[in-house]
Amino acid sequence: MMKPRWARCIYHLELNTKKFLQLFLAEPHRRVLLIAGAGFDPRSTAVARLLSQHAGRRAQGYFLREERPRPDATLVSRADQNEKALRELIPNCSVARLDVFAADNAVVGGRKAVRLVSALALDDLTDLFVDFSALSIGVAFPIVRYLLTAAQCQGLNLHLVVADEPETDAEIRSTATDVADAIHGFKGGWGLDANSRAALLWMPQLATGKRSVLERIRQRVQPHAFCPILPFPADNPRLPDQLIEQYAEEFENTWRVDTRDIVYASERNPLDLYRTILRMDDSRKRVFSEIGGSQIILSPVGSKALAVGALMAALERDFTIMYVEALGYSADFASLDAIREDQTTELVHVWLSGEAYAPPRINRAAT
Amino acid sequence: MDNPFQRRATEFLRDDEAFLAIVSPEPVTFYLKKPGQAGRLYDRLVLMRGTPGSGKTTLARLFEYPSVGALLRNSSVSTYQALVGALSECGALKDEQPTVLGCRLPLETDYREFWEFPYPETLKLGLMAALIQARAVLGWLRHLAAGGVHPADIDIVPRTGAETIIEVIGGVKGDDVACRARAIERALYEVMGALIAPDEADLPPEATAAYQPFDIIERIRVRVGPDGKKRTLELRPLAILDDAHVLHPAQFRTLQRWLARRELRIARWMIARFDVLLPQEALAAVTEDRSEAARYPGLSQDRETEVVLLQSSGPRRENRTNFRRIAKDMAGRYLRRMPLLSSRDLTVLGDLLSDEEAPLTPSECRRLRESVDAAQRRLKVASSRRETFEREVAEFRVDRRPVAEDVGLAMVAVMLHRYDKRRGGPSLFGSEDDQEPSRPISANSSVYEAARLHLLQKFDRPYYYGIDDLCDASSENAEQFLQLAAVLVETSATQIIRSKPAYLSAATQHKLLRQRGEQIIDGWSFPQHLLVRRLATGIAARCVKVTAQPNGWLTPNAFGIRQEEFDTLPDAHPELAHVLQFGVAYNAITLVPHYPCKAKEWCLIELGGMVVLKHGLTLKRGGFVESTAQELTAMLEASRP
Repeated sequence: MMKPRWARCIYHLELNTKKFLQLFLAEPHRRVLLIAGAGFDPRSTAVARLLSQHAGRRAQGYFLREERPRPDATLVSRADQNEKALRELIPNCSVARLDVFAADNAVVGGRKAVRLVSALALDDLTDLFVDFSALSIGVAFPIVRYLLTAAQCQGLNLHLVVADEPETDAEIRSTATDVADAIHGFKGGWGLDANSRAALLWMPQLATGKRSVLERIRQRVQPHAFCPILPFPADNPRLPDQLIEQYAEEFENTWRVDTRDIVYASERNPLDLYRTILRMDDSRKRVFSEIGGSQIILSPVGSKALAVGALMAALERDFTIMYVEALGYSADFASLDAIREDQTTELVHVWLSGEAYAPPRINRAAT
Repeated sequence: MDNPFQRRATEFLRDDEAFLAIVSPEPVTFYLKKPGQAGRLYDRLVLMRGTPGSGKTTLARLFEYPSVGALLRNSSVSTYQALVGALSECGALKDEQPTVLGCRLPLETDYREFWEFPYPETLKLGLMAALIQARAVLGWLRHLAAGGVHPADIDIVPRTGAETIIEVIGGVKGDDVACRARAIERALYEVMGALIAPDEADLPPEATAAYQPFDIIERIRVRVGPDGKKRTLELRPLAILDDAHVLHPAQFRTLQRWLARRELRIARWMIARFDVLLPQEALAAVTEDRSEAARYPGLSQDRETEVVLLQSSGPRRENRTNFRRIAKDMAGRYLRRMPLLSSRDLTVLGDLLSDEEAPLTPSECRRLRESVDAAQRRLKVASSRRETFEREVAEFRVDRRPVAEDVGLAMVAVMLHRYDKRRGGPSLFGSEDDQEPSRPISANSSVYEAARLHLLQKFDRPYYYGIDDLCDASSENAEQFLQLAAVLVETSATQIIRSKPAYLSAATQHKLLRQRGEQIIDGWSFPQHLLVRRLATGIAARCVKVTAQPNGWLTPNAFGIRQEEFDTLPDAHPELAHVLQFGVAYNAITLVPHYPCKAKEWCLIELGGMVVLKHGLTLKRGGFVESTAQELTAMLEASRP
């Protein structure tokens, strides 16, 4: 059994994130690049604001504006406002437009995003921050996979930050495409002849309003076993019950979930899910090694903090991440704004790679 | 309770016997018998097209070697004999032995990735073709292994002239060929999965090596049976490329062209929805029974490709009748998988669905009579004329039965209004002046249908019930049929559990079907679905309005635009053509081209079954509202956010 790569991981939740970033970014040698989404999502500016406050002119920004076919005019207007705010917060920035879909509706966002990010000059930086808050996972995950390698090669710190607001996620409705596919860079051996006999375990992260999406993924994966992930502990302690109620038909008819198969993972703590998935993988590998092996497929369609946990597990063990890209979004901004007024933005920070884990390499540009 | 109707046929794929138990032989015979008997299924490229849920994957799966093997193992079981017969008719079996070694390759999205690479098109096609071939070879060998064939008993038979290049695919021995294919697949997989595509010069040699098993292999020779009693089979490899619509349109065409080459000896099928085509091709594909817009140098469509359309096209009455047969057979197979029903010998869906009418309540009937009386007074129709109409209605028969009282009253109301129209308005000489109409008015099926629809609109009198209505509402789509039937079967099963009779009243069926239709529409989330929904709703709203006309002169469920205008849609109204393409591809609408009416040729845009159910329109075909491309485009414009 291998020791998990992030068994000892530096991460911060909620208020601790702000405290940590305040101290960390106050170090005068820090030169920071923030990669974030400049979309309609009201959380778009939260991390940029923090970085601007504590790193000032030492912060640079690279903002991706995800473009989807026929966007709603309100969304475009909100995205314009957020883009403007981001430019003001981090003046040393550039904004790139990213077509998530090709003309034939094929999902190309992940591949294009990596191409864009790979063209960035990282030489004079010390820290890379990827803000998940307003990026879709089909774009953010490939970027992180690319940056993880780049950061390790160049001795940079790589941080993931997410403004986790499950209620905001629930208020943003998406129209999904009808194709379930692996996220770019996260195929994890899916479809290879060598894995044709593997026992497939699908671990969908349950979330409100995602039934049809998960059904599409299930039809594609056709797993042998299911382990749905429920957020617990969660802000709303009744959420797991509500989700079980929403997915009652799947639990009983199609997935046939045994209560012992349910995985509970802390809604705000990515490490909880990460460790659980790795533990399960270790057990399954042992059991199935002689009969074709085991393959775990993840589908992090719910809270962003949990998605970070799934990402970390997939980065470490090369799991397949299956998802369905959103063709478009809609939101009732009146109720969204009302919800956000009543709550403070809780940030989750995971220090993924860099000086916290190994002696820092001297960056030529920084010396 | 497990309801098999709620599961797609493809979900039974893992277990061959379970899969075969739910497959109906009817579609196999209907779509593939003729080309199979003519030998056109295996010597050229076969293009199969259909909407989601039309049974494409089920058909493909049936021709895979493990299914054929399972079928032959159980050929003495009566349930399977019809399927054995159907596959024999298609040439997949001969003398109870398989003749083809089928392998289904879902193209899904892996192959689309190649199109995004920064390489020349020939290289992109080469990489994709190599991956397809490697996976097909691995699939064939995997299926043989699963069927108990030892790798040492497998030999590749190259086509004449290819013996010298056999080493390119690893030789003739099964093990060697699999080893080579696995190496090629692995190398290509790494290229495909790379975060950033490697430079052309950095591509691994396995990925760019000459690897063309489709050009080399003619047959696969296998020795089957127990030791000492082995017999030799020569199987023609069949590569079934499923879900080819996921490819980029240009990529699809290139692959199609590559597979259509006559020198290939293996059988190859491409299965796709309509999405992959450009609008002009997609619309042409459904407006012409045998159309292939693409033309390539040196290829004549008829000789190089066989097109099989797995959806409504051609003779409509025959299609509907045939679909009813398929659906009933399929429903029987599914019902046999439900112990609660099958243990009570309830394996015929029609037996669960009452076709007894549900008349209006006495008070509703009284209101209806009052409204007919009022109409007579308002239109100043002579009592003697009304009596004549009532006599006609009393003599009118549906399936040799007289019509119900409420329907009779509604029919009289329709006839009164038709009479008023045809006499040119009320007489100047009072209400008892019985004028003659310009054309006689009779109680016929058109009046009957209009009357039933009026009762549906005014009183929500059950209109959709019985097995035939269920089949017709499915738009000749197997998946939609199962989705509609699921809710009926579920309710029937619940009634059994509650010790009530299993059959469902007309009112229950009507309510459940309309609810389900609405749910299915609410669940649409395919590309352009918002615009498709608006278009369908716009058409439906006008059809409802016309249906509500008191003289019931027309009971439409379609828009008709002139054929010559329709033919120009892709150029003159590209966006509308695009929306129509997706509407057709996802069963929201059906196109009926070259429809003759009033000495003109029309293209009907007929609403799909779910839209018809939701809006309460007729299931009978042919009635349409005359329209134009401008009107349809305006519906889209009005909906723009």
